[in-house]
Amino acid sequence: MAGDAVIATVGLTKRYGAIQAVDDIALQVRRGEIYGFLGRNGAGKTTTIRMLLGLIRPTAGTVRIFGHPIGGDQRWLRRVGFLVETATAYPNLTVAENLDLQRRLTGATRASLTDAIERLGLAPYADRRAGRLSLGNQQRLSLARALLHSPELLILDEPANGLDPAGIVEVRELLRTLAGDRGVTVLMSSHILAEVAHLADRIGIIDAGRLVEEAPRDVLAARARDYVRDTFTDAERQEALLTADLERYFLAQTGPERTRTTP
Amino acid sequence: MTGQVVLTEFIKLKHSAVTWVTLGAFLLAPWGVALFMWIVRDPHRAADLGLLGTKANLAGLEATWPAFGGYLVMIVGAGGLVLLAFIVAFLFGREYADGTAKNLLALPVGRTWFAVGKLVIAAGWWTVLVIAFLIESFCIGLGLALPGFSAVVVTSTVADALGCAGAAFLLAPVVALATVWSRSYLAALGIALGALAMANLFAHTGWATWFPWSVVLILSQGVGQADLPWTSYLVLVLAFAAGLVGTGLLLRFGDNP
Repeated sequence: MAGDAVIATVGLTKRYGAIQAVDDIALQVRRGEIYGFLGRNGAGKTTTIRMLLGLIRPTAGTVRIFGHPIGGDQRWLRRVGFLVETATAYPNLTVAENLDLQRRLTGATRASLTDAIERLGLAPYADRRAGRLSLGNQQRLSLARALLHSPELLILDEPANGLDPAGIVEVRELLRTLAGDRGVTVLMSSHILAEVAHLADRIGIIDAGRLVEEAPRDVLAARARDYVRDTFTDAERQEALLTADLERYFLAQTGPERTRTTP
Repeated sequence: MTGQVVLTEFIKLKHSAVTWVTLGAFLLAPWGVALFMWIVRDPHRAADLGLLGTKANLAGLEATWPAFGGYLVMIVGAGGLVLLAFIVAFLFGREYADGTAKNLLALPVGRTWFAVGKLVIAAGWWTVLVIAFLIESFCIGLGLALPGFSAVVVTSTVADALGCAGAAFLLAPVVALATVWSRSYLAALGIALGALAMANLFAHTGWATWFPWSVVLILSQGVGQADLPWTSYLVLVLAFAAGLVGTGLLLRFGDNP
């Protein structure tokens, strides 16, 4: 199993003084899988992701990406696309200019720039300054930047942040296609179970810096069903189902023409 | 890839307002000197126009090309320390202010190259500013028809100004280090301005030749370079090296949240 691990951490730990941000995490993300990294705000997801990308140094433990220890030569990052925490870009540069900087620094082709803009639905905004984009479009720009150089591994921290429900579905489909058709490995963090459950093959739950549970999605879903059945009333379960139905209806009404329905 | 790093830094600077703000600010300075020369040359008219206070004392000041050149060199040295601190703090600090540092530092490019790329762009822009400043200043000087114009004066002014510009730039990596360490513009600018204030204090304590900011000020005040011991130049080079190495190490081994 370790042999085909794209991401492998052993005893990954990060302390800030007395604060234990990440505590002894062992992650194994296999080639071509979508791994959901689930946890509440402040659980340690972003700190872990920053360590995976070499942005911060672990207090203890090791990280291997594609079998290589991180640090030193950064060429392995050519195979990685990422989005860390909030979407950021150079506000004075346009969408196309922001992506062009990324293209130049990753050695991607000019065609990939157009492709990324089209793929993330940013064509109408290509000449708009990034500082004038809506939050959702800033998130799309960050996702386009992550995908621009056709990486083999995507590390995405809360990729649905700021996106409307239709945008969330679009990104979900995009990631599913990348993983299914191109064999791209995806590690995505979220604090929303529904978002992860739609997409992930395996889910790891992090709490207070520790990986408290890790299982295939179906196994975790079965556990969740048992928990919900034993813990919540029928009325509460009906309420939850109604919310999900309303969301689907909203998506149908606001999505592309072909999916629109008559009330 | 290094070329691409420099090019991307150039693109970022080209689209920023700081480029034009620094150009405008630096090109205003010779007009101030010109006004001063004009007042010194014709104090009665200046007084009639209300440009001189009743306690004005212009004794010992002269409106000549050598004096004009001396002021230009002083502006390049002392003003350059402030302006370069502003430029370098902006180039590095904007990455933290805009939250783009994390995007930059997780790219398949050695992090030290980003520091080098930004300093190369700072050097390039600083060179453009100094050349534009000198060209404008000489045009203004010729327009004022100051006495004492000669090829020797022009040559020595240009040489001194370029020497001061280079000396000021040797301290740019220290500002870069302060920016990366503090992850903000303001702390770096504070440190740079504080160092400049300290430079004045050191000038009174006899340690000026050992403090790099004081060395630049001494050079800019027309004190002949021969008056400075070789250790002063060594101090400048060491400050440059320490800033560069420190910035590289911090980017490479420090936490970059």
